[in-house]
Amino acid sequence: MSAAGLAVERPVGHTRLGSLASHLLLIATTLVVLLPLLWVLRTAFVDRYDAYLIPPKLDAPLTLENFHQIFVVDEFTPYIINSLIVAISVTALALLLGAPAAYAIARYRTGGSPLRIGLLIGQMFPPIVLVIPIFLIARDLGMDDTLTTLIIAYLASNVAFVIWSLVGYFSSIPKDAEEAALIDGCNRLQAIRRVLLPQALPGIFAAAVISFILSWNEFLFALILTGNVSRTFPVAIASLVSSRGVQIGPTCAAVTAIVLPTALFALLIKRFLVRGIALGGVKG
Amino acid sequence: MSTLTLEDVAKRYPNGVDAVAGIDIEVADGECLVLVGPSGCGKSTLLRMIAGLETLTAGTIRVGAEDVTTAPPKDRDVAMVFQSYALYPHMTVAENLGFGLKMAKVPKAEAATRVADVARTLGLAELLERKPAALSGGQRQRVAMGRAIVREPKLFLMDEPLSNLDAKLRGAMRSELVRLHERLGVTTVYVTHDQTEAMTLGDRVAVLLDGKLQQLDTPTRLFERPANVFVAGFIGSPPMNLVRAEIAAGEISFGSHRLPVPAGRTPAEGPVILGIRPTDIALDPAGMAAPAPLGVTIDLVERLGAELQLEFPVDAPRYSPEAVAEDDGEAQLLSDDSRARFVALVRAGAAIAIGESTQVQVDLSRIHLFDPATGEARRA
Repeated sequence: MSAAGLAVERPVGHTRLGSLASHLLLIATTLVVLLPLLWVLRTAFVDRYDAYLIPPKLDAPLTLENFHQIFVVDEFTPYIINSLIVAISVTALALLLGAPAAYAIARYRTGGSPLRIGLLIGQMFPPIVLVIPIFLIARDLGMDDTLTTLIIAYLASNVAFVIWSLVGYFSSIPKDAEEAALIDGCNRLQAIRRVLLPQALPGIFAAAVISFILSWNEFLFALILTGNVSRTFPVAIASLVSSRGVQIGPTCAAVTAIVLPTALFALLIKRFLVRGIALGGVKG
Repeated sequence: MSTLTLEDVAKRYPNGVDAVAGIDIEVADGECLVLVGPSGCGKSTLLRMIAGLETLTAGTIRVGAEDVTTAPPKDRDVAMVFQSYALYPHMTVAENLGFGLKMAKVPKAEAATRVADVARTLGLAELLERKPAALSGGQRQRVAMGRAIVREPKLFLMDEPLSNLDAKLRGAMRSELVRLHERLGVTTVYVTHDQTEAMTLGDRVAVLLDGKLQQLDTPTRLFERPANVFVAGFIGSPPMNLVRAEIAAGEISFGSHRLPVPAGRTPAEGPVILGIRPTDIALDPAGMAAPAPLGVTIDLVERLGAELQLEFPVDAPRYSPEAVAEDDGEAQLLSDDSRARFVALVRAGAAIAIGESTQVQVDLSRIHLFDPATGEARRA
């Protein structure tokens, strides 16, 4: 390639040295962010002696001993299932309730701006202020230590989140195409299903993933509202930290297990969000 | 095909603003009616009311004999072309064209034939598998048009369908639309703010302002006999020259200029608004029914090819037709101290230079007089 060609490829004002320096800085920053995660990942796969070694032994043999401990000995599987039930139920219900509400607000100005702000009121309180009354109500109703209570408590915040994020998304989709569908023979529901939903899928999917992650990772409400029956994964992980010390190997294995679905979803969400809305139906 | 009847149609928003008020229009079978007016005059709202996308607060809409005032859009058998085209972005061109037929449960084979026919007519045959994002503006516009045509509706509604095209394409599409309308003969209501589009496309043109119908007439009559000063100023390009004048002793005077009152007319003495079309001013009186000289100093000459556009100041206050219109015909007239400017369109080849004082000829038989209080035309 000619020198002129190289000059064209490189943005104005960038030199080879500058590019190297910026890459070094980026790598260093990335390492700072990723190091705790890498450390957790490494600790999850080494035995209990190597786990505590400082400085760490870089060629320590890999083992699944810690995963055996949490899944077989400590029997964490029911807690993971609880977490999955809660996260999936909350996500499904939040979308079922939130998406139509968001549509109504976006298209019909339902409630106006007071409703939009009102949706955020629940988020304005510190969670601890909310969780104690919820616990007392649940106990009085005989619903303490149930997944239902946790699902309802999570819904309160997740529905608001779903509405808030989808109002913006629906508003960004021009309503002309829906109106064209109405004239082309659709009723309102058909226009939504056949014309709006296909365009809104990336936004709905993103809201679903974030709602899932919020419920899957939540700790404070789960700690107070659940007991032996309904304990979720994050609360179970916390039980590995006891007065006798931290079981660092099993804890890291559990953290790896809890981060995995989140990380997978994050990759998916990125693909969806990058793809964006397939605009072009209207002038542009 | 069908007739369209609007009876006393009105739309009042909750805040009390009348978007559309007391509209009575009868559109004949196969007619192309153009709704024209400045931004915010209610023309698009009226079109959306016909489509069923907006509710009425009063009045009746009939398509043929059927009262569709409260019918949902899907039950009106109308097709609409949106300003933004409003194509379905996730569907191919073929799916966009066939969507209405699918919803109407037209048999697949018949739908495919109709889509293919329309695609061929509009030059879309090669693009059927593309998504709208992969089309140019002109192609999208054709798809939007095709989607309306393929349904063979009783009524076409078009909401400024050409406004997103560049000037050259817009001109070409305008001619195509005239041909298309002649070929299909479907009753059409067409909304535009462009008076050239209105004049070339409409069998009749309805001029709207502030939600009210100002005049409904053929393009020729709108041009030659505007009902009021707003219509006079809005229809015609360049617009009609308007100036505040005084009628006294058989003369129309404005500033230091004097024109005789046209023969056969007996306008009341007193203040008046005088209107003269740029095409009714010439350097040469030949061909004029009643030429009268006007001494002016030309200060701008624009060569448009076949014509020259001359501009000159007249010694009288500038008059703005919107001012009358906005005050709803009340007596308040707005004018500023700067002098009015007249425009004249004359044949190219005339020897005239900037700064030259000359006598232009005004065709008195074609001048317009308006009441300064109400803005209405004075026919006497």
